[in-house]
Amino acid sequence: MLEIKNLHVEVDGKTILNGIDLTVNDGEVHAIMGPNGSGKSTLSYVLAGKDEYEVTEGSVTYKGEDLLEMAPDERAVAGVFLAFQYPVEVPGVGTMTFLRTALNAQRKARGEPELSTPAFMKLVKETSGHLQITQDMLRRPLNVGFSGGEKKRNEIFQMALLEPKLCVMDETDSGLDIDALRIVADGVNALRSPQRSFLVITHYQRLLNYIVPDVVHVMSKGRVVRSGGKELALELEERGYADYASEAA
Amino acid sequence: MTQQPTRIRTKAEEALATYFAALPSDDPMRETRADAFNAFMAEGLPHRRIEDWKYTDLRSLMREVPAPAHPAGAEAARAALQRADAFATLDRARIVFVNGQFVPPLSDMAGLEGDVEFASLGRFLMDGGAILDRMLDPAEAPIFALNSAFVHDGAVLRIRDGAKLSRPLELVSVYAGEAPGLQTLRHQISVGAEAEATILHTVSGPDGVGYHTNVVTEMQVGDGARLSFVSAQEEGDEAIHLSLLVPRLGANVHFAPFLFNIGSRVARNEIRMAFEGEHSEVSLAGATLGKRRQHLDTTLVVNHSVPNCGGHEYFKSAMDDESQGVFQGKIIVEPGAQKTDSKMMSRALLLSEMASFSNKPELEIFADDVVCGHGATCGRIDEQMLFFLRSRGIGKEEAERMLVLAFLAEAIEQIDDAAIVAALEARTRSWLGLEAMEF
Repeated sequence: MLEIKNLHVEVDGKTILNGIDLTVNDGEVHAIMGPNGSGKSTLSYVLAGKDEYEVTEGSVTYKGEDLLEMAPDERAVAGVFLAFQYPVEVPGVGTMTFLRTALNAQRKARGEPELSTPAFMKLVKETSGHLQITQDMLRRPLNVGFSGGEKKRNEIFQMALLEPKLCVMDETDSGLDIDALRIVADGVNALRSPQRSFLVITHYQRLLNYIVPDVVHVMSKGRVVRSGGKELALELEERGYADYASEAA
Repeated sequence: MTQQPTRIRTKAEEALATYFAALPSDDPMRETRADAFNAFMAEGLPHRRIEDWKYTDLRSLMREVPAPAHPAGAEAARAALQRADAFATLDRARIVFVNGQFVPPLSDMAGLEGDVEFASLGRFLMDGGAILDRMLDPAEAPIFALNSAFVHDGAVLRIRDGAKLSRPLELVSVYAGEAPGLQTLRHQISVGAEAEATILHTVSGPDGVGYHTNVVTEMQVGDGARLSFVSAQEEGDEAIHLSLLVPRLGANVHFAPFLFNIGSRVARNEIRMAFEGEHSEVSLAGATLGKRRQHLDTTLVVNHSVPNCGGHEYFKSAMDDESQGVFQGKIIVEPGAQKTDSKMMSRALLLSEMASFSNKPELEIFADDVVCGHGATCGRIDEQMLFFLRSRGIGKEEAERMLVLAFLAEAIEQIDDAAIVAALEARTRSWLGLEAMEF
């Protein structure tokens, strides 16, 4: 599904990612943990195609194609989805208009017919219920006036609606209380399938109690410094990141 | 005779002098017109060294002026009217002017007979009874002076005290024909005390014809009246459009004008508003959409001469290609106009490297217990929002269009009437090449 080799990334001339190697196979859930400033969010933005990041070395291959050559919308069409740490508020763009435009843009780009209004409404109704997306949220402009938890639920709702192949989740758990965390995790678990992979970026082990990973990676100073099974997350929870902050220095 | 210093006239001024000299010598309004025309010619076309016209230099933007327009034939008039469809989705009464002349067969005032008195200004111009110089001094406003000199027709409307108009009333000006001409209109609207009305104003014409429009709208709004005035400037792409709106507001008035500015090659929309009674509220908004090499200017002068009034101005502009936008907004708070609450905002979005926008907010405050503020911004599409939309699979162009629509819609949605909002948003969508979406 995803193969990252020796990825080096700079922002404003400053090196943030310093040789990342990572392979995610079909159906796997990988967690990326690490201290603040280790480059986790940068990795997620680079995968989604944000343009202030300059790749100076290395490659990212997604389903056999060069992901870095693709525009952000082409990546989305190809099945890459980023759940934002800070979902952007877009005043004046209705949530429903946004969802339908996105869904139909992807369908159109893949050569599939656009969804009719009734078919779209039905899909929204089926998908929104268990994520506690209310009619009121759907009527508002995108993310405007949403609470932190509503914004995060809205991200997972978009993920469920767009059915991506590779879901990159950037600190989706940050700012969520335990109930909201459970709703989000249930939403994600419902989407797990042999054809869909996840890259779950988190600072805390807590989320991984609900979304159980196949592999856990520890990032520090822009590199993956350790990888292991789900028990690695527990070890981190106990001992903290102190070991890793110094290791790569 | 005293010696006048000689000013070199531009080609356009020479043309105007020729046209003025050719007006009928037996015109009963001749004297008023001559006063106005002389006031205009004393300074000539306003240019960049005159503060109010710094960004809209008519000497260079208006090289030529066509002769006063000829009336259009019935067929041509009817065909031209098809273009003036900004508010086609609304049930509205219409008073139609073609090439600056009232056309009764195209007008429809059904249902408003009891509430509105209408006469064409042309009638008063012919019998010498028109009053052209009541609202402004021609020497202070070149558009107004030229209007008084050449005005041919217009609507004289009186909305009765307490009348609640059952449907909006639309004043339509269209230009017909392939030959350029100058159409000059003056509307004089008096809104009675406690009356409620929505007046729409549509101006349109054919692309590729260098016609000129000069339209002055005078308004006297009575105590306690609620008036919404929505103007859609959709002139043809070679047209020059000069407009001036002069409202005088009584006490306890609620007045909501909106300027939708999308057409013409050069447009100057001026509003000179005066509060004359206390406790009146104005919500003045507008949206400007520029493409190609359009030059679109909005200039406001809001004069608070009495206490306890509120004014909120909210304008948005999106400028593409090589278009130039101008916003000048002046709020004057005279001594004694205490408790004035006046805010003004102009925000512009530049959609291309070659587009430009000039923002000039001005506050002149001579009272000490007031709340006044202004803001002006000029920027590009928000990169974070654009990336968010694109990350969901929406292509760059479509995402940009959605964000421009959202930006302009914030101004359009200042209008209370949902049907008018829908009509103008549909216009904006088609300007952007975006499809409508219904749920």
